[in-house]
Amino acid sequence: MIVNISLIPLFLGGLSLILNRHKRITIGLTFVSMLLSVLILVLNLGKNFETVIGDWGALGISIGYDEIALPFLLAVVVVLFAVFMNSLHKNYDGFFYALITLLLGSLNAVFITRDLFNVYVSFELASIIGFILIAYGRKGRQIWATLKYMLISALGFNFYLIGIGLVYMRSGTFSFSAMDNMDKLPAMLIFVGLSVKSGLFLLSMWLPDAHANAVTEISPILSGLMVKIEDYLVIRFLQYGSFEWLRGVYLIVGSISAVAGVIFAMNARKAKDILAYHTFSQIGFIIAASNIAAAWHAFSHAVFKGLLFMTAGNIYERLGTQKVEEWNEKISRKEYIPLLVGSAAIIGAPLTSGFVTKNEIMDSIIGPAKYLLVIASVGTVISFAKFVFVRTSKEKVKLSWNSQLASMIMIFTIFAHGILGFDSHHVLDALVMITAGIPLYFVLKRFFKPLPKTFERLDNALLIYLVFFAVMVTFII
Amino acid sequence: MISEAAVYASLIGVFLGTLGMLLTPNMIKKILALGIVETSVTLFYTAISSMSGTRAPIISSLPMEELQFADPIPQAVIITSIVIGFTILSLLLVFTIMLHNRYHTVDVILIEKILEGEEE
Repeated sequence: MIVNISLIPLFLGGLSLILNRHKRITIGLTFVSMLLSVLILVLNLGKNFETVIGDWGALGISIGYDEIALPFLLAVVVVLFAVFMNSLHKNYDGFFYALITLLLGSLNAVFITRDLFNVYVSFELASIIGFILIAYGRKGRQIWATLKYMLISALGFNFYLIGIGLVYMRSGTFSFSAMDNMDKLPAMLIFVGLSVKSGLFLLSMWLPDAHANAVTEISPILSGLMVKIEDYLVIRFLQYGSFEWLRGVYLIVGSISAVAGVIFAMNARKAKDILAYHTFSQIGFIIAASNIAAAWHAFSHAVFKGLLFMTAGNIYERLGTQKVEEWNEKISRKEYIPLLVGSAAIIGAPLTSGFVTKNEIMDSIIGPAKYLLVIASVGTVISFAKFVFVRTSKEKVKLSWNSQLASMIMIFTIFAHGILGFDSHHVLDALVMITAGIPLYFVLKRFFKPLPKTFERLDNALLIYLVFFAVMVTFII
Repeated sequence: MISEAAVYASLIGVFLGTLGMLLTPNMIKKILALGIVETSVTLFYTAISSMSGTRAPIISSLPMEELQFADPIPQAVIITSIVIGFTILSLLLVFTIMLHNRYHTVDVILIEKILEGEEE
């Protein structure tokens, strides 16, 4: 039964919350719950069904599994397992592993549920765990980033609740299928409410602060999994009739976000800032397309962004600086290889997962938005040239086996995905983009300086979000 | 009739709470305004449940259509959202206390200025 994929981790997570003083037991429970989720996922591979839990007929909570959910469920397992491996030699307490197990359960729950209210509950559960994890290092900046994130997203989710309340008022059920014949107002409220956590430029300006300041293990989760929930829901909801008119809005918002994120990232100096701004850009690609190709791009993004965040965090912990220029001649070869592979994947170099999925997205988009996405791709090459051209040092640095294993898992996933899905007819495009981007990087390098963070202040972020809300309201009236 | 009035009252509550979050620089007041928004959403769900009637949903006689029950499902689900809202409010207050212990202010603009100064 597919529902166990979320129930077992939630139960084991609750158990490890009680036993949080025994670190070994909580680590074991996290490992077991990950193994069991993989097992359930393998057993359900290739199926496509929708059932109702309980004997209540249409009143029961419906759950389902199909090919749209698969990339997201896979991403949850891969990223959480890599993060878990990377954390083993650091002194995290049992509470941390209990939270990771609970997070696994709640993320799985979002991706199998077909009930609007259940989405709210499991999404909020995942977010609350995320809030606690961002502030895990108890630094001032981390607490502030969490506070900003919580305040804006809690407001957004009240709009979502009003939206699904309207759906219930008109149809008498919270099931997804009720959205087939709704008018524009509930769809708009659901869209605006969810988009606060989507990681789109202008809608979730809390994102760079939260993603860049979180501890090493948490940034991959935030960027790889938390913002993917919204992408999944967008792809899912667009199958229902009342969301069809929003496709154009998603295309516009997504392509703007793709370009804006790249512009901010090119100008950033700190490694984790660059990666956080690139979340804007890659989420823009996913939202602009919003089809099954986008779902697989969400998977490959989760893996390569997770790898990049994890490696950057590990280097930052070792060297004490986040500025990429100061990494020159200090990082070892073993640290450089994951950086190179992750950058190659995000640029879309052939034989990596980014190449496969980005080209599928490009194929599915027609019209002027495509030019914006091409500009964003070239910009990605320019901003990741910073990572590619870091000079390594010859001296041997001892890295712990578990963090190397974590990187290996992700590198393996990137290449396996890239080689299985390889298709030769876009190789030339990718090579042209790379050869155009790298000289541009050396030409433009001296003009880059960090852009002001005016938009990211709490009041401004809130104001921009509410202005967008007002624009959408006038749009449907 | 009364339930429609409650729907509009709740939407006005959401609007006022949102304005409050936007206009005050005080973190505690922002959190209180968020509390107003959450309570208004609860009122909205209660109003939805009272559209079919206001009596408690207990079957005392048949046929049950004549009894004009309140719809129990919105009431049941909104309890979950009350709990989640309570969690979020208390977490927000905890983090505000932690920030206050460190920077001795709850003013959003001041905190952001201090944090920008901290950067190298």
